[in-house]
Amino acid sequence: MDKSSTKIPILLLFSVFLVATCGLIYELIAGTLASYLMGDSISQFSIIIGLYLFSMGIGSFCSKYFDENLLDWFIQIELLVGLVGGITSSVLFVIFNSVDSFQWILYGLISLTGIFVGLEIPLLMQILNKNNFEFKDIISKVFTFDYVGALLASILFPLVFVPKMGLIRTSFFFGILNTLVALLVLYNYSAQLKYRLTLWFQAIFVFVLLTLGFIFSDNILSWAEATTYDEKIIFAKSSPYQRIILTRQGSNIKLFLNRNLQFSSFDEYRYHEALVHPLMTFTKKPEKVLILGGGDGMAVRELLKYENIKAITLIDLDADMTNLFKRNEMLTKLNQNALNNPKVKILNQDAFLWIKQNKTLFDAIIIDFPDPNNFALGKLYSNTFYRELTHTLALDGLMVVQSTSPFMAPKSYWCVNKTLQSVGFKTLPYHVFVPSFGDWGYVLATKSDFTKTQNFPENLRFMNEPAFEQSKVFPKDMAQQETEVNKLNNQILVQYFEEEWAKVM
Amino acid sequence: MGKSDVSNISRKEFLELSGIALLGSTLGLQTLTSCESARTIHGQIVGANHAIGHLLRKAISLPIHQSHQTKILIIGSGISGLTAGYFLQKAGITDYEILELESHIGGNSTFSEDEAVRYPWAAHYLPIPSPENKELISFLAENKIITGFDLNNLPIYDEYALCFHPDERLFVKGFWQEGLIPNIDITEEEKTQIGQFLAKMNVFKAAKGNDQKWAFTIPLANSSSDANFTHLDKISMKTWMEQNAFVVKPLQWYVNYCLLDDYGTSIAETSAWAGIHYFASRKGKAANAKDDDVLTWSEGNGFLMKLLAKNQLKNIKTQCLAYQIEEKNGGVSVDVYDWEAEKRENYFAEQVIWAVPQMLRPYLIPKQKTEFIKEFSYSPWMVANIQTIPFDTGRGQALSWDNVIYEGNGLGYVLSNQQELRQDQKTWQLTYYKPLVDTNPVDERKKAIIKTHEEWKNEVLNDLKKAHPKIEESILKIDIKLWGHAMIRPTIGFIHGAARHEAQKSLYNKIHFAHSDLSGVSIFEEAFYHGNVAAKKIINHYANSYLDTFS
Repeated sequence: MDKSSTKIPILLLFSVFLVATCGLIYELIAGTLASYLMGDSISQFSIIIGLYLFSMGIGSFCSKYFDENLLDWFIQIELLVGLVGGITSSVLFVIFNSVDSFQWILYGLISLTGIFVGLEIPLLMQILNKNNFEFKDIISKVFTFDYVGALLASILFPLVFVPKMGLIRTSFFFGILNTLVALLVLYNYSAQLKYRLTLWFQAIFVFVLLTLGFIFSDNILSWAEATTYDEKIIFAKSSPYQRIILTRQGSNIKLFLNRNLQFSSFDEYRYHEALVHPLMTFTKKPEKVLILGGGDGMAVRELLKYENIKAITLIDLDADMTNLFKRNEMLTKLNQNALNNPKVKILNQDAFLWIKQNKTLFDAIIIDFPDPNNFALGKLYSNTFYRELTHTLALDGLMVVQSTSPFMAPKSYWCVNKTLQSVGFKTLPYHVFVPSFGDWGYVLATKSDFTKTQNFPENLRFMNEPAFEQSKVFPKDMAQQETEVNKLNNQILVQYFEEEWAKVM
Repeated sequence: MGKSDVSNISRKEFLELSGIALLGSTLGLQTLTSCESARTIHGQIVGANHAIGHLLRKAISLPIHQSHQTKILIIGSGISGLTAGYFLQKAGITDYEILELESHIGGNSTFSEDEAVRYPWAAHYLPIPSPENKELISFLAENKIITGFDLNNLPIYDEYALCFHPDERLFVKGFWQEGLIPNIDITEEEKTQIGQFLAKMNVFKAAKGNDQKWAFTIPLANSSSDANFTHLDKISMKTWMEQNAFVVKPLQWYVNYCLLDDYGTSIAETSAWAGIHYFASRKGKAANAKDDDVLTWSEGNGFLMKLLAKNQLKNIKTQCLAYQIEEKNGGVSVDVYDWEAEKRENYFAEQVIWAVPQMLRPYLIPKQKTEFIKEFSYSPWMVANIQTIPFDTGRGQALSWDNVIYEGNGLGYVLSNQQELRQDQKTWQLTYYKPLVDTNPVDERKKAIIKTHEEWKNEVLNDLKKAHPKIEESILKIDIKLWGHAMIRPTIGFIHGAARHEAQKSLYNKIHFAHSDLSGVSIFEEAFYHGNVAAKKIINHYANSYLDTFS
């Protein structure tokens, strides 16, 4: 650098500006991501900002240990900021379901970014200082650009970047900007650098990596998808069978499978208490229970309230689903770690094929499949399937079938009832109100009879005797109606379901 | 030609024998060899890759290696041959052998198995039969395809075998409609004519002749011989439709499609009697299915074929070409070339069941007058089995069992996965059918034989792309099979002509004919019927000779 010059080179000031912008963006991304993923935005933002500023302090403190090859170090740090900052959000997103101590990884990555960012400005000031620029000028110019960058970042982040690019892309984008600063400095001051080659190699590697990330970030979470949900997406994964999406708004967590709402943590207890407990009050000797579907473990949680149940078998096609609800801390909190209970055996198999070959009898069966909105699912509501189930249900056993909404889709609901009756089951239809879903229907079925064997547990939040009595009453607008029997060779239920839901959607 | 004259074969005889090779085997065009496409979509032309002509030349130069004695010899292991064996066994006759040219059994019910998927190479369904077809009903009941009978004595079918919904869809003007009868964007006139045509077919369905028999029924042999109906055999379906003012295009397309699908002949070539038979002969009734429902399995009729074959596998010898049949010493001598062992053998049987196409008679039984055989003509087919990953199945009705493109080049495709129960199906298996009817069967066979896998593949793709523009991206494999003589053609005058009746007469009371071509209609029920009839002739023969010993 030209030591006699009194003017600070515009390139370095531009670097300060970009570095400041990127630094603040990483902080904002971390804060946003933390509140998306873990909820409770006030404390998450507060912790993240505090931690980030503190880490920057550590970085600044450490800057005094850098004496030699300052420009080399500056570029090095710049590349590290770009790399760590750039990949943070996608890494956090990807590992969210699979690690137990998610928040510590989050805090670790944020601290690391903070330390590197904290090093940047002091290092730059040292470089300028060593080149004999006037100290007053350095302070004034560097901090001016720093704060202007910060302002720009804080305005553009919520207005442009999050809505236009999404968190993951934004993160990669600023990582690339950081790397470009490094490349620019590298190119202009190449002659003064000691580890020129190594730095070039690193810079190109990081640049390519982040660019690829930017291009392929749709594979992690497509932006089109993110905009279709009202709430923040905190988890997204395409399992071999379905698209699993978790969203969070405040403390309310929702699960969507192929865009269909499966539960909302706000009122899922109503749905699951109504699914499990009426069945249990009629079951004579509830030792072995089978659940078909229900990979979220909520029905298991309700079943575990009965100590006389010895074994629960859960058949859910999708291992990604059951693993998610076995491992993710936030979700195991919701199902009270039910899927890790030693009484529970999880089989990730196709329900129809499993039932066809099964030889074990169960005292109670809970059928919690997604609504019959396609022909593949329609098979799981067919008379043939229910007939197969009679070989899996103990003679005096009972089963319950989630049967869509008798208000929105009365024909579909009563078709499930009729189909169960057609293969010799006595049925007991009932329905409850679940705010997230609407008025929701179930059908109890048995080849024996409905004799009460026990009372509802005391510790329920929703279901009790009067509530169940009420749920057996079907007002005029959802009264029983004549339907055909759903069969594999007519799939009439899918047709009813499509017609009825088309009217309201 | 006896056991001893090995080398004294005349040039004429040799040419006649080679003629069998030129005709192709009973199954396909044997001279085709496998070839692998170098492009992204792989596959091959499957089928036997041995040249029968070459085999035969080798055969006649060999001495007789071994002589066998058997009470009954069945030639051909398609549905008619297997049915004959099945009924012989039922009657307690176990001393019989079945010879099959190919290395696998089943004829038109051949299927393949790839890892978890099974798929047919030809016949893929059986319409629920009429309750009057007692033998077929009991076969189905015996094998639990009929699980019981309701109070009205209507059969209850195995629900896994009844074709799952949705069963049929048609691609018209960018949209998949439900069912195969065009109903999108058609004029009032077209709609009226379609309605009137179907009503007319229902009248024929209920009609009986002056002999109190159904005018049209299956087996076809039980149909009325009332000339008021049989005279319809003298004109083409097209002419009959024109005479009856059924002229609108969507209706003509639909009828033509149906006839190509069942007979491999067009509306202009099929006789009106056969054409109407398609619509009016099926009188199925079931407790748990609609009258026009069909039974199907992922391997198609290969499923039924396996049931017929299961108790007689030890009686079947594959890779055996019968090439000379002669009455001799009170029995029948059959010269056979075992092309796997490369050995020439002789079978001496008391009775023979001929369960291969009639077209082979002049070559195998040259001493008999067979002028009428030239009336028997067969349609060549190309069948493609396409393995895909799931693809966008288009607007309208969901992917169905039978998927047809209006005015398409082929007959569309059948989804072999239709009867699968599992939720996730990682690959789909589509069986695409195309009867080769551009010119005449002889020329079409010649054209077919020289086409490469690449050419067939492109032909299939170009047709499918009309409905699925991006299907190519999802295709994993396309295999092609050519059937030289897939189906007997019920052309004008054939069904009620002299040749078909002549062909059914047993020779020397020792050689009995059994093949669906004797009906003029190539369907499972007819093959089953003729196998049964031939077996009965033999069972009666032995029952009578047993009685004779007492008199």
